Amino acid sequence: MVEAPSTLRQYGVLLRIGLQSALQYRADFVMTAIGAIAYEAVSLAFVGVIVFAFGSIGGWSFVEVAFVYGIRAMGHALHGVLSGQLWGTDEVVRRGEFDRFLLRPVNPLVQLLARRFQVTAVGDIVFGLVVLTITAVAAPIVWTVGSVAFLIVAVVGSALVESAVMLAFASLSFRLLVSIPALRVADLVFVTFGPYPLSVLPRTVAQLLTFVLPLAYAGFFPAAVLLGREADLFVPVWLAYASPAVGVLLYAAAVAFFHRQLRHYASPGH
Amino acid sequence: MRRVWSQIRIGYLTPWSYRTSTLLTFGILAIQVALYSVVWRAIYADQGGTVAGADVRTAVGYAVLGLTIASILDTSPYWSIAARVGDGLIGVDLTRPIGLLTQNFAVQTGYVLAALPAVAVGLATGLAVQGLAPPENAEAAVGFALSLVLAFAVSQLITLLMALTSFWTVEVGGFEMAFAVVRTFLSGAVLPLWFMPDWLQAIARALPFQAATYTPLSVYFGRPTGGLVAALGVQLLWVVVLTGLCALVWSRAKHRVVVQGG
Repeated sequence: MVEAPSTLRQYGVLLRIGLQSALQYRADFVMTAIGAIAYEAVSLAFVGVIVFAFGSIGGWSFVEVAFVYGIRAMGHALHGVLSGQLWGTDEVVRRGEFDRFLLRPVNPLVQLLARRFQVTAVGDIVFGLVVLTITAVAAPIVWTVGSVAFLIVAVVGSALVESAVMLAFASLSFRLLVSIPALRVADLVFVTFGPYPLSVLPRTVAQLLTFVLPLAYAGFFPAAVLLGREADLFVPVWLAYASPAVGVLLYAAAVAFFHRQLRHYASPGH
Repeated sequence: MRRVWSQIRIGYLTPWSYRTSTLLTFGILAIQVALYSVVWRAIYADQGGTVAGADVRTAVGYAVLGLTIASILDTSPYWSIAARVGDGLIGVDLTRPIGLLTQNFAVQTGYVLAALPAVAVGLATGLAVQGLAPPENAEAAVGFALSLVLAFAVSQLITLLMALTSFWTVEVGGFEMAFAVVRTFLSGAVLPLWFMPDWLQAIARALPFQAATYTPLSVYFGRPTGGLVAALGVQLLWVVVLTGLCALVWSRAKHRVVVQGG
């Protein structure tokens, strides 16, 4: 008997197949990616106009706010590759497509995540890379090997934080058959509050965005640490430094939660 | 006229047959209004006073009203020309006894009527977060109502014009996505034009989008560009120009109809 490939390898193979099939429609692929870039660019313009009009937000200059935005944008782009397909969970569960996921010798979560390739993520990655690079250079930070390494793991952590939240909510599909409203609300909160230094928000809201819907680890905390703005943190400094680790822990917890909820899956009957 | 009514009725009934998703958009609107009021208050907190002539109350009120108006006017019907062209059903539409543009305008009107409860949701949330004050005087109130009707026309004509391009480009998912966000941004639905740098304001003023949302809002808050009459005049001008463009594009499009699998 041949041993099954590792989960990561299964994911890689499915991702590659998905990308190949998306590339069959070349024009649509390019247009969708450009559409995604326009979408992100407008959201950056929104933040840009506000900082232009107000000069600074909570004492953070334009460049500093843009740096928070840059980390979030890149994290969000990686999140898109990993978790973009979660928006289809309701459909997969309701149509009984999940039955097939359970029959195949590949982890069902891997099949769900790599069901199709998320084309918009390509645009997001291009945009995220450009914005993060420019803002990282422009930000008042003396870059060292250590800080660059922290930035990279923080971006991965940011993707994992956002993915963990979305995965946990998508798991509701198994019991409730509907998770999209929860996904939309979480997405709305992340998009609305994501670009700002969270220290300007009322303390209760900032705490909620740290301990309930953990947005703070996805942009604000790592940016504050790198910019040397520890004074603006409303949590112990070590917790902000631990942002990447928080991302890994939350994602692991979300995967465990997904598999627990999976036990409640009832096939619609086909 | 009865034919047109039947189309409006169809447009009105369609969203309510997807009741959960329609109710969901109302819930999302309420949450959006609440989130924006938190964000604006936070941004104003360490500035105080007014920025670009607007105080925090105006900024929050603008968001409440802007999000509410955009949620009823910027409808994108499932029953769109683009979808009908894609499915090959446009052939059926062309055999109907009323013109395609009239059909679409009627159906879109029905959509807007169906979305009207969103006004109650948006305004109620606005009241709950103490975000919206009544218009300053009677002139602003009447002007707002007039401007809103014109904004409806401009908004629907823009949607129609966009939909007509699908006769040339069958698959336009990405383009539509880009168009939708640029439209939202330049219409001033979420962010008032008065916060924008001059060059961006100039671009926004040269395009029709601001006439579809920003104008009624600026009237409500008593600061229409060049006064009430001029603001309404610009809106009216856009209605005329866009109607002309729709007619022109449609007369060209008729000859390009490719009915897929019809």
